[in-house]
Amino acid sequence: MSNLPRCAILVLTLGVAAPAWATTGDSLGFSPSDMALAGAVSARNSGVVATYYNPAALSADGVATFLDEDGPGAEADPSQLLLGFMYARPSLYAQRLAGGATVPLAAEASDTHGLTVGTRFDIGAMFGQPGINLGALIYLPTRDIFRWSIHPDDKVQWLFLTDRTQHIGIHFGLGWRILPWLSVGAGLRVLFDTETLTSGRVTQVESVVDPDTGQSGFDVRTQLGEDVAVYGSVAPNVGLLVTPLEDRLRIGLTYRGKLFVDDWGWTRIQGVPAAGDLGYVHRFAHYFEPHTVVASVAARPIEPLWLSVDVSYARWSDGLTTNHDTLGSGRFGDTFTPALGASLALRDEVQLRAGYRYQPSPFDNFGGPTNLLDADRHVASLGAGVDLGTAEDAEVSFTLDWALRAAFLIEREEHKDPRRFDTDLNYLRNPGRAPYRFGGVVPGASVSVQASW
Amino acid sequence: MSKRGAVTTTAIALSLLASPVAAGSGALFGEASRTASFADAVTARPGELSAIYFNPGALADLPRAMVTLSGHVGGLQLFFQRNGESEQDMSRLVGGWGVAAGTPLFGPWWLRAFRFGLALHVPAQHALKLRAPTRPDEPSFLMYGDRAERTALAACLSVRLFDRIGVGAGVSLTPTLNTPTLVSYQPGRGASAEDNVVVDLERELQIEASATFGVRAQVHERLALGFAYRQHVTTSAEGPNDVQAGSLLVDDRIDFYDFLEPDEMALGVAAFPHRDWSLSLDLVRSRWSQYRTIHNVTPRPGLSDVHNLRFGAEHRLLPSLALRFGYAFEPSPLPEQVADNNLLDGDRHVIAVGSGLDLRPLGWGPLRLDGHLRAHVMHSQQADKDVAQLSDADPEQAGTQIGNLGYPGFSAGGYVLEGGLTLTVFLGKSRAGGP
Repeated sequence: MSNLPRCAILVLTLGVAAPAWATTGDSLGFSPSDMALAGAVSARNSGVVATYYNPAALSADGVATFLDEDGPGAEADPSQLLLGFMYARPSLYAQRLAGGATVPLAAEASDTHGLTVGTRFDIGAMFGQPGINLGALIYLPTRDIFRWSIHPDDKVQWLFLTDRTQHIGIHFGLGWRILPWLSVGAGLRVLFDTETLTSGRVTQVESVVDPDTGQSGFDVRTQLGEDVAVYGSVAPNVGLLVTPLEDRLRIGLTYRGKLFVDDWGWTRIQGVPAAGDLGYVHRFAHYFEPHTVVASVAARPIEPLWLSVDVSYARWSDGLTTNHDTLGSGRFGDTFTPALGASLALRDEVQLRAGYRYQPSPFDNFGGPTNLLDADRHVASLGAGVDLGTAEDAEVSFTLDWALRAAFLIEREEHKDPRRFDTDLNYLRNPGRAPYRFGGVVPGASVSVQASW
Repeated sequence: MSKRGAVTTTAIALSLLASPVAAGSGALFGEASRTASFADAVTARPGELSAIYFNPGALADLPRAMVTLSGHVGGLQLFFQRNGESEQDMSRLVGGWGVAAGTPLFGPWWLRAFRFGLALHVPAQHALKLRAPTRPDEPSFLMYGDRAERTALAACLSVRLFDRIGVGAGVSLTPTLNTPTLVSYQPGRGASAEDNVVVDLERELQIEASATFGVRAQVHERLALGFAYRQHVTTSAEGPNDVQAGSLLVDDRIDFYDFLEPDEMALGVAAFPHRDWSLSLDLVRSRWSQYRTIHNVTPRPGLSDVHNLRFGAEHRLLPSLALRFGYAFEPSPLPEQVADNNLLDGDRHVIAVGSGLDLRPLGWGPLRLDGHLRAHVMHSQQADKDVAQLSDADPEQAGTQIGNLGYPGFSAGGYVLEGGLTLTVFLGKSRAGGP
């Protein structure tokens, strides 16, 4: 095929595709292909990203797809290298019901932009045992290695849209095709825990008078010291994939363990006048991901069409807010999240993809003191992949993938119930005492290049 | 094959006779075993993953894709002794693991001239460790503080020019923390005093890059030269840190600066006098005069730039077995600690031995196993404080009050014993007749 028709197909698919993209769980995904399918890829031949979705699928290339038309057998699976970029920009609102004034937020919802680098290769083939594939997947935000936005739970703020996607994510997986129709896999998701011990000694004390209130006070200067240790933490990721009808039906099951950043420590400032020692203990939780089980099916009813369904059960009832539920537990609940994906191969060089996911919110303020904003959402996505051909003499084929996605947050209202507050004072000074509503849309896009050899 | 091509191929084959294996993230003790066995005298040696940090230009000779997995453990036997007092044991264990990968690029011919490498080192106990004592005069070892237990990430791209010259550039990545913090106390907010504490903070861990650049030239089939420049590597944490409780306001600023590696320029020569022998010699200028303490101030008196001399040798005893030796002399950049700072260091001898077992001739897979043992032997450091240069510990008292933790003087020193293993997995096909 010459370059001209190929470019025409690319332009056509770009024009046909409406804005849409996909997520993994409650966050953005890793590559355009899985995001365009709304994350319904756990049973599919998803290549590198199977490291996260289902490690067993790292070694189950037996199903013919856009790039791989070979059936299962004793040959090595192709090695892959993925480089992707993603961008998402929330467009949200939180308004008072009376008058429509904007509710001031403790932290703004932030844009997400990051790089995904992943690879998969058949390490078994090196030892004469093809079908044992190692996958590694790293997501790196382009601005920060990680960002935390920590505010009390009663300040109005988005629960999952401030810092949740702003951290490095590292995933490893190993898939083994133990039978032509059965693959198993295991992997690790890597995060970290932090310990911060801050100490200070007073070096200078000044008596000051507030020019506005006229109140006197002390301005204290200290010499600070710090002991910071960051420890690695991991959670398991295991999967199973059965392909009973070779390249027509695939059934998958995945379990991902609970994982979050445990952030603890203390601060002590010694020798403060009139107070002696001043300090506090802190403990925060970041990027909480619950125990999750995903049941998935992918089927090919006709030659060019693949359909897939993933249903995720997430044990969010174990969930933690950033402040470890200091204002009361019981606001998280378990969720079932269905996701659908469809892909259509056109003339072997182009694949169109579409997906939909209904993602129920695991959190409700229940009229209590917390003001953490989250809502059920519809996530729709579209995308395409284009085979760029094979490099001469190098036996390497390249694929360009792109996707667009939008998550529509269903509008929600919050009405505070005084009976849910410890004291009248806490009710009266709660930032969300005046009823408010919130919602919005989170559009995003992604593009990637994948090499296979 | 042309004469020039034959010479080049022979040179590469000779220089790779014991197989390249070494990861180079830049972390102290984070080298792979082969590089550690040479006491880091690798600037002019070709085709090793250590080149990712030590000389990106040398990575251009990488003949095939490879991955290394390394682990090391060491005992730091260190002491500090204030004059007239008993010795303070500052010994500890350090360990870590590393992974490095390098590959020729694929695609059209001009792209295949490039090599890409990536190396990561992570300490065994912590992914990241930073210690900033409250007192700036607390004694601490210059070389064996956070440097010995740091996470390091390096990447580079190199290209081969005119058959015999490799040029490369890379980056060493380190984290920098921005952490504005406001803590206040709201009585009646919760059931306990701890529940009344309100914390508002933002933490952003960003990436800071330091540049590396290098060139390696195979000037003769038995002789190679190398040059590398490595920019200093630092990590820092900063941001306002305010604690408010009633009429008290503790408004301070976090400002920590961890100086991990100085600017370095390295000149290296590697010789291959016999098919079973290779030798390498490096002269490294380290610009320690730019050093700042963990509290982000220039120490008094300032540190000096130093020149390190490194030597490495390798002998292939059997087709699958190589023996290695390395020695380096590293003069201390510290002047006598007569003023407020109590930085600890002494002139150092680095002695290393190692061995490599290539499993490919034995038919045990595309693997190579290397090991090393290394010792740092430090000269004892002596310091006598000059009262005229010490700060007044309490200006409200009459006279100069001395509270320095190193007063009236001290001695310090010790040694390090460290060892490690590296497993290399060779991938793909060789493109230059190498391993």
